[in-house]
Amino acid sequence: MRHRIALLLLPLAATLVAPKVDAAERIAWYSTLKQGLAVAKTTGRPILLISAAPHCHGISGIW
Amino acid sequence: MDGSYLSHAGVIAASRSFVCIRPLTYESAIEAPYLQSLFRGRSGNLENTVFAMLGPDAKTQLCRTGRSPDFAFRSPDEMAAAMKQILQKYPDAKSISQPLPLLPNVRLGLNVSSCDNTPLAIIYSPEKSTRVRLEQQLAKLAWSKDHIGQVQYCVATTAEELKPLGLEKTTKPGVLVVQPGAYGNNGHLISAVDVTAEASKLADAVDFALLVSEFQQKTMRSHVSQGQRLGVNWKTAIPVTDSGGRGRGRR
Repeated sequence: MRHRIALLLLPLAATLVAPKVDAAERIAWYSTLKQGLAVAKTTGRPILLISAAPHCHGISGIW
Repeated sequence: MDGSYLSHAGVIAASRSFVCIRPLTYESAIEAPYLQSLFRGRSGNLENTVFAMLGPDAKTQLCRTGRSPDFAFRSPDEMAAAMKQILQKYPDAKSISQPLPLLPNVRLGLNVSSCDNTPLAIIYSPEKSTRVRLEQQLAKLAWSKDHIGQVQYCVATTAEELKPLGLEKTTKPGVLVVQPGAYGNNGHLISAVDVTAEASKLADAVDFALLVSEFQQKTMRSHVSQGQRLGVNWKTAIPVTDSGGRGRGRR
């Protein structure tokens, strides 16, 4: 029910929150080598790479 | 891994001029050998995490490679300073309109967005031309100052892929912005726009999701113990070889 209401209120709420939503800054990651390395090659930018497993002891939802 | 390095303001600022890649360990048999070539643990196997800073050729190592940033740097400040120095070596780096950073599929999209505590935007369309157009529209948004790093993105080509969200029978093609569940094995729809939506409507849908999505801070111990009680069991694409983890991979 909550989400139906949310969907109905989307245009209004989006107007109210636009143009920005305040949030902590984060690094923007490419998640695949294929995509990220292609961008590095095209741009000539250095690469920051950190691989990580999206689970802990078989439990997902945490790095 | 010490998250203080990656949430450090100086590191984040410098990262904007790097290409930042976070491969998902044990989720690709194709990527694993490359990660292993960068760093192996004492066992000689691929560990849970690999850290490297590399030249654009993906070969030249620009700092000590290891399991995490603290293998190379004593503090986040030191890492940020090193990144700034590295950037000076690449004055000719180009600024292009970058593609939308895509997770490999909806399953991993839900999990990673749950790990990151961010909404997930799913481009859903069986038609490639539609997906490409929506990707291009979302890419502009994804790299804009107010949205960079705030949302995860993935693509679904069939309705079946939306099953974890319970949307496989009802959803029309378009962009679906969802909040992932705590374990990233499900989620719920927050906002949606159809394939004909203008870019401004896409931005509205994403902004709305950022506004109303709710995430609780997770602590490793309680998350894992509760997940075990609930029977959560993430299957990796290849076997986990880190001695600190459990070998639960698909075999």
